[in-house]
Amino acid sequence: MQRDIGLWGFRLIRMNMKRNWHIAVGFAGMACFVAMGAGCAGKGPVVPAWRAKAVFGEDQDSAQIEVFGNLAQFVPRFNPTPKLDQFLYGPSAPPGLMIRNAQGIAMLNHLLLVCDQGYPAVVGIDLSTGRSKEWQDIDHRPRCPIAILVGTDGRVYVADTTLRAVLVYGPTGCFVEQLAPSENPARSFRPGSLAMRDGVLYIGNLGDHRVDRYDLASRGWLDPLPSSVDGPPIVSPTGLAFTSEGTLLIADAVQARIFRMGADGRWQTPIGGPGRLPGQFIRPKQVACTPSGLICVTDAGRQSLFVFDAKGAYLAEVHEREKEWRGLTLPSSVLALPSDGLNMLMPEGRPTPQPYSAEWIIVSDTLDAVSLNLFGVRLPHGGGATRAAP
Amino acid sequence: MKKIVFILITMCAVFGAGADHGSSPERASHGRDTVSSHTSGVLGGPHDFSAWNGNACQTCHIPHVQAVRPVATQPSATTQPAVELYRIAGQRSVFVPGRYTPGPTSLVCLGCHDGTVAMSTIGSSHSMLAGVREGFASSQDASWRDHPIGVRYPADPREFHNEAFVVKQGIRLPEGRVECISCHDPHNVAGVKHLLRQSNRRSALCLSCHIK
Repeated sequence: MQRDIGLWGFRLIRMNMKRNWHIAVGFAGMACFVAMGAGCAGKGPVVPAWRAKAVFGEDQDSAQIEVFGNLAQFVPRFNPTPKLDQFLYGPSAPPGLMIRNAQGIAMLNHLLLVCDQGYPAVVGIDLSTGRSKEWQDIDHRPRCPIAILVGTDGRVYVADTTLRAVLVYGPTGCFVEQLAPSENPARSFRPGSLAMRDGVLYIGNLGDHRVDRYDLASRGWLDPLPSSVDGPPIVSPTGLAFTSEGTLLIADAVQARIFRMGADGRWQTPIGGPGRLPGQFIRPKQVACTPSGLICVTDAGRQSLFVFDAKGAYLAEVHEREKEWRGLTLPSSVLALPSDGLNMLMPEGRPTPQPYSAEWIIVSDTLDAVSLNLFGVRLPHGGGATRAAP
Repeated sequence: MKKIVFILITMCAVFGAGADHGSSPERASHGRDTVSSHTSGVLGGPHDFSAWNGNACQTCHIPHVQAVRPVATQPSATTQPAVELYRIAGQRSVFVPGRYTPGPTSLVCLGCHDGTVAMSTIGSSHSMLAGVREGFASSQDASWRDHPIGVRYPADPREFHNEAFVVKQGIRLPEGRVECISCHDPHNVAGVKHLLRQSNRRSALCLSCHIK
């Protein structure tokens, strides 16, 4: 009985194939398409050409800042929907970067790690493919990730103000340990910023109004940074960064200035102060130092990105410019990259910005729909503007 | 017998009401929250930074100076408070109709209350839907503690009191929107815990707007 059914089915198909060969070709084509499309994820359209929306900077003899805008537009659009599903159920637009409320940002090889407070999680964006996902160990999620740092030891440090600890992850996101002073019965330790130099982790302690230090080699807490005798005290160290000379920059959101401690341990004249004049701050949040020595500061109160030279002289304030760029809403963190820091976004054949940016700055915006903003640094006389091989 | 019992009960009630709790030695060991709830104003409150920078006002109110760069949107009496806060050019441009976008006054609060200087209002127990993008929903277990800001005060008379009535209750609605200062007073004039404009005992603050 089954043999008869099978024979009849075979005869039916053979008969149809002889008379309706185009149907057979169609079925064969579909079969190939199914085999080809099953499990395949496609990439989105080619990224648009690089074009600066606005340029900030007083004159050609000093560094100028080019505003490229939303970083997402330059990142490949990864579409996780298989082609077969798109064929069966209709095309689907590739989702944007999986960011809600961006805070601290750091670069780990080709991954852009973003502290997403709205998730909360550390989101890893693969700039070469555009794929974004929760990067850290899901069993050890941060509660309120504020700052993130890729250490010289290869580990990733995340400052969490709710957990009141610094979470340490491996290069692949696996949880390693949690750092917090054991002798802190009042639980006033609130890490809000991170920096590392010579094997010592510097932590901006917002709860105790100071900068703590942790020795990675001896795995012990060192004495916190001594306060300045002459100047105002540190209140809210929301940003930490080191210059190439070893000067520690401390962005204080309440004192509205950037404190500076030299490599010799002596306090220097702070940068800026409270106010609305050029070079003055309202709520400085984070500070970063570019390879050429430029000091970049995000100011949430002025909704701006400030740029100073290596000596602390004011260069430019990047803010909204009518009809050119809508500006920042609540800028939080800033990340400085060398000229080859974003080579994964511009492989051979893709349009490159002209003139080529010597350095890159990425600013995270906690509230805006554009979570990550890209800026290029144009150094005077084309200094440092050489393109490294991808 | 009944008279004696009644007299005893009355005496207990009288002496109990007249107890001076303020002089209790335990009050000295009360937490900061309890002490601050009995004080009003900026001084002594959580927004008092005078011990650090010598000025209780300067942290939020920048001294009046003339803006150097051109202002994209000229401020007017309806857009700027009488005591000038950060007069930031183009802040009105962040207003996007139909989206949760905090206003200038809320941005001032969020400059600190984003988990850095002070307690976070984003993704924490007091989640802020203003940070929610299209298509991203807040977790259901936190939804009952959320309150959106940057949204226009609803005009549904079945669910919400009239806007004029709400303003009369002391609830501020800058430009007709619900912002942080609608419920919270950064100057702590009323001296209520959590810097609320009025006590939320028995949901009194909530019921100033919501009809339940």
